[in-house]
Amino acid sequence: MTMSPRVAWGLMAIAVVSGAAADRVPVRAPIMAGGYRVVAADFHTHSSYWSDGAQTPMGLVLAAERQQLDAIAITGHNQVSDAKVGRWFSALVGGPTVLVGQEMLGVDHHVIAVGTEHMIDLPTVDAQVAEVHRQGGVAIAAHPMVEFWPGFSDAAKAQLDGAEICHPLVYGNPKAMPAFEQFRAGQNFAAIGSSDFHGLGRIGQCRTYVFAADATAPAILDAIRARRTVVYGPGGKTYGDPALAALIADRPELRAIATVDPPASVLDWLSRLSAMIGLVGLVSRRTTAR
Amino acid sequence: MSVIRRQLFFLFVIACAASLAAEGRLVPWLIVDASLSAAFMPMFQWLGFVMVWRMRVGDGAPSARDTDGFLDGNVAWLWWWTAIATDVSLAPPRSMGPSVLIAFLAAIALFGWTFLRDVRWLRGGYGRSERDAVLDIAGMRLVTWGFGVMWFFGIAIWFGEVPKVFAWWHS
Repeated sequence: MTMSPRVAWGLMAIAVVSGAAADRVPVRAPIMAGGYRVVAADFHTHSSYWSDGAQTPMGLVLAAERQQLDAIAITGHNQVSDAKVGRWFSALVGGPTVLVGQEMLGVDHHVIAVGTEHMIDLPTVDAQVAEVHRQGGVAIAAHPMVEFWPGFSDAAKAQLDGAEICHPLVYGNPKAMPAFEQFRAGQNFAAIGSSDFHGLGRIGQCRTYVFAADATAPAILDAIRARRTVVYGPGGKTYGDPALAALIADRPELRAIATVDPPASVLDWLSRLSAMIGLVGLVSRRTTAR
Repeated sequence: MSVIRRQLFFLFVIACAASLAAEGRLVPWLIVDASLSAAFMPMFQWLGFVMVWRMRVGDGAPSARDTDGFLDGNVAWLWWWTAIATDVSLAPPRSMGPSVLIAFLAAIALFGWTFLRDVRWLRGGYGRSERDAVLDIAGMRLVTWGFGVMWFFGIAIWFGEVPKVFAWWHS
């Protein structure tokens, strides 16, 4: 027994209408603490333009607004062109600050460059970090699992500005958190939380609170260089400068959005269930006896 | 028109899965955005089919009936995307459990199954020998997946990183 196409398309229409009704850009005032602007940022995202993401750079900007992010870095695989598209679009629509960056991939290391304008194609972490700094950016060790440690010499680690301490891997891989903590042990890295967003999960599901003079790209980069960041990991564990963390201790919503999946609304569920049943109905009608 | 409708529908299902994965709901702007993002899939599929058809199978461009028959093989992938959409709808965003691995393994199995199915279609419908049909479909897949993977993962990786991996492997 197959579903009538009218019923299936009707369900899809319900899914879209209820989804659109639930889709709101939250209105919120800038958060100030200790004289700093507290910038919610995600420094590791991928677009669908040559970086195996599921959303265009424009889509990343719109999604970031909905997840209450003030800044994102679009970090294409060994290229910066999609980030520049995202920056242009965000300026056009008044969206979050978009920092141009790239993820420099190596067999034994992944490094995020943020605040760089030109593609960097160098073989070693030392050389990459030096070039990032020459371009005025900051260098961040991406998801430093044990297999990515060999690329980081002691000298290279000493030059890094930050390292990811929260990444979606910590929610699915029990080896991730111990590896990230061990990588940063004894180092003066800025704590960084990033979603490494490719389309699954939510952009900003791991995020960094940056204590910056304002929400502009230069101010955010200055704050990372000064290690003025706070990250909430699984269970709400706090990483980064304890004094800065104390300044936002009375803002539980900042910790919540960084660590807990918000409950789905009735409209969300209506959209999901209608979409699931509608898709099954539509696809089942495509089945033919070729 | 039927061919275009088929490919647009294919794109629509992928876009719905992407919208559910990223926001947990169907949102118009995300459906449009994900359609733009995934448009390379049907385009490269069509390109691979037409190229190999012209070179090896038919005298000229494939007819609408030929193309429609070929695209019929996408039904299995439509079910795969529907399953993905269902999974990401029900799982919490921070859950990256075993479903990602299951989806990946299912994709490998589907790749093989749809390959054999398309070979049978060419043999049954067009009288191709087994060897020719296998080469035809392999050629189509090579163009489709080759260009698709290159686009999806980025030109920078394929010309910058893959040679490094090979060098590291042989060192």
